[in-house]
Amino acid sequence: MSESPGTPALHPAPLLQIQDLSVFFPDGGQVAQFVGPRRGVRAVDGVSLEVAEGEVVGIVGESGSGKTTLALAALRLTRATGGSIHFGGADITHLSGSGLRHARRHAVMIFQDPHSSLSPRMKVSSLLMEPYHIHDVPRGERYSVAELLRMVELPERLANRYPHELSGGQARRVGIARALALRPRLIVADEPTAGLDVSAAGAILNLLQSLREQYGTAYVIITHALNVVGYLADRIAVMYLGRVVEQGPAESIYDTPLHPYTRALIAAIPDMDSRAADAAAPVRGEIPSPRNPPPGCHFHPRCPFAVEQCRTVEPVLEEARPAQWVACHRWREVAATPQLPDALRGAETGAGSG
Amino acid sequence: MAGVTAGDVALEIEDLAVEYQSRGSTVRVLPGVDLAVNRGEILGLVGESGSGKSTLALAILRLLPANGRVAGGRIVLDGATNLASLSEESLRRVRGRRIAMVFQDPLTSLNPVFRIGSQMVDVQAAHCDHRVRRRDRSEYLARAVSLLRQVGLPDPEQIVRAYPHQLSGGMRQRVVIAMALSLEPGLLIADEPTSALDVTLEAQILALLREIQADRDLSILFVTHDLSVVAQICHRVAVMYAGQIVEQGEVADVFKSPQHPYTEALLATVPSRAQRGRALATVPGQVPSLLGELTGCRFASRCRYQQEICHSEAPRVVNSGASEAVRCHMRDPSSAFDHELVPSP
Repeated sequence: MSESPGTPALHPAPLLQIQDLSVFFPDGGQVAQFVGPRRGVRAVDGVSLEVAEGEVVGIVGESGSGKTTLALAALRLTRATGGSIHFGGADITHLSGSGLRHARRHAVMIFQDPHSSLSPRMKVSSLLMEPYHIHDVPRGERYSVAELLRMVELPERLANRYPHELSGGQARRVGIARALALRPRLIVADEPTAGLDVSAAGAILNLLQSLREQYGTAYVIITHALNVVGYLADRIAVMYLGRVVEQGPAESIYDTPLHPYTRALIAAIPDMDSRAADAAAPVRGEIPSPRNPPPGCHFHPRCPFAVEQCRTVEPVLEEARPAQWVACHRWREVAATPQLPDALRGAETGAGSG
Repeated sequence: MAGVTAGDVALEIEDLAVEYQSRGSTVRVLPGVDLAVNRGEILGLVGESGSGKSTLALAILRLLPANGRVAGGRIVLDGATNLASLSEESLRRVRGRRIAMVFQDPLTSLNPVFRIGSQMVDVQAAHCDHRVRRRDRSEYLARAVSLLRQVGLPDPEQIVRAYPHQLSGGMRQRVVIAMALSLEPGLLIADEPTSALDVTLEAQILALLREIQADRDLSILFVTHDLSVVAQICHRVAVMYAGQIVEQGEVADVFKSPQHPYTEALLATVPSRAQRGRALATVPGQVPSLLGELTGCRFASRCRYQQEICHSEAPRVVNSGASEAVRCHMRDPSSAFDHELVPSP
């Protein structure tokens, strides 16, 4: 790909710039690589994505879409097999040792399961100070334990607790505080609200939003639920079987989705105003195995718009509307068809009580 | 509830109390729950983590962990059988056959070392009243194939030969649902059956459950923390808080004009498309610990309408608005609650 989709040339040097990134997990051991054809899983397949300073980008997709692998590769936590990664203008694709450690101080990840990413033998206070020891941060540049707890709206008494004594929401906040400790320029959060009650999930999203406003940190938020990023993200990239199938401003993705898969994801958001019987199933079938993806457009076996061309020719991202990129041969037909839930539901109404 | 006769009720829970032994002390997690599942309806039992909704679901079939026990009350099935006082032997005949259960993680219900087909055959054979012959087993297998087809699985002949790990999460949950249907139970208890699934699969499974319910006139107790899921498939809803049911009624009524402040607060937390970009509502504070003595209303400390009476006296259950049962002083005309002091929304 010669030109990367995403934010156009308005931002000369994006904070994070991923170009044509691929991650291939080969089958078998070293020997298997020399015998017979190369087989394995192409978890990420030529993805280009940019994140500007202070921007929030949501990466949305179902299990197996490659969204987590993409994030891991972007932070060099798993090895990319192709493409390049620039962070803060510098090429970090092949960085190692102290150079890589330095980059990781400015781009940190919050993992999905807080309990598996917090050592069960360390108290909250030590967990919060751990990043400083790893990165040898001088005392003058450190936040105190109390400050970090306050930033994520946790009571100070939790400093002496162990992770198993925390609730799910509290453990998430400790994870966020650990990320904030280094004053990073980019935070990548993998499913920040998975497994939380609605109220606790809402509180975490509110917290991320207010932290973003206070510190101007850029975020990449990875989730399978569009409504999670719909609240926070400036831009959204939708992934399917290792490829970005649509990306653009959050409003455009929500209001005028052009890829049939994006439409299905939006239709699948459980809504207070619809009944399962009316909406039927928004998309048939399941995501196929990434080991053996369908030819042409990966989505064609599940797609109501599929024609012969979709079965054979891989669609490339094109700028269908300003800043909105879609990889679909039939996006014009999709755009001309009213969206399923709206067509069924009529006018959109707000949920719940005021 | 006027007009409801015994024949209309699939399951009636009266004053059910459940206790857990924990470090030498007894914790009463359900202090006395009343709940009825009408025949042919999907009742949503909704609450946050720790509200006691799963405990209630497990207590019905007396599947509580070893440190839990039903300490009082009645669980009446089909207006006749009291499950709370049934012997373990008789209870086994109820489990699966009259009440089936579907859990959140299908892998906990499937044995990893047996093929799907043999597990589905075993379920039917275990509940067969006569000695199982070879001919019966092939009949059971044919039925398994037909059930798998009914839950929308492609290639059921292949699936009976597969092991659980060879199927995706969505397919496994369909298998578990087919298995639950194999003994033709009248009541299905589903505990967060879609919480571990991707959104598009969740939508598919919900549509399937609703279809099955309508086709077979099944009654379903649907346990979930997700109000939007309740909105999609349930007829009635019971909202649980700290071990008590605080509001009960038709889904459309309760969601349109919630009578209990907790229901109101919970509904406000559901993100909607229209709300995009605005701060999300949350319910401030925490669920009270059940370890200590609880006086007054259990929601009082988090309630935006709280008054002195709420902290000192437990509210009665009353009819209010279109809701059948509401546990709130504000809705009780005979309570000392002062309506003049209610803050405007």
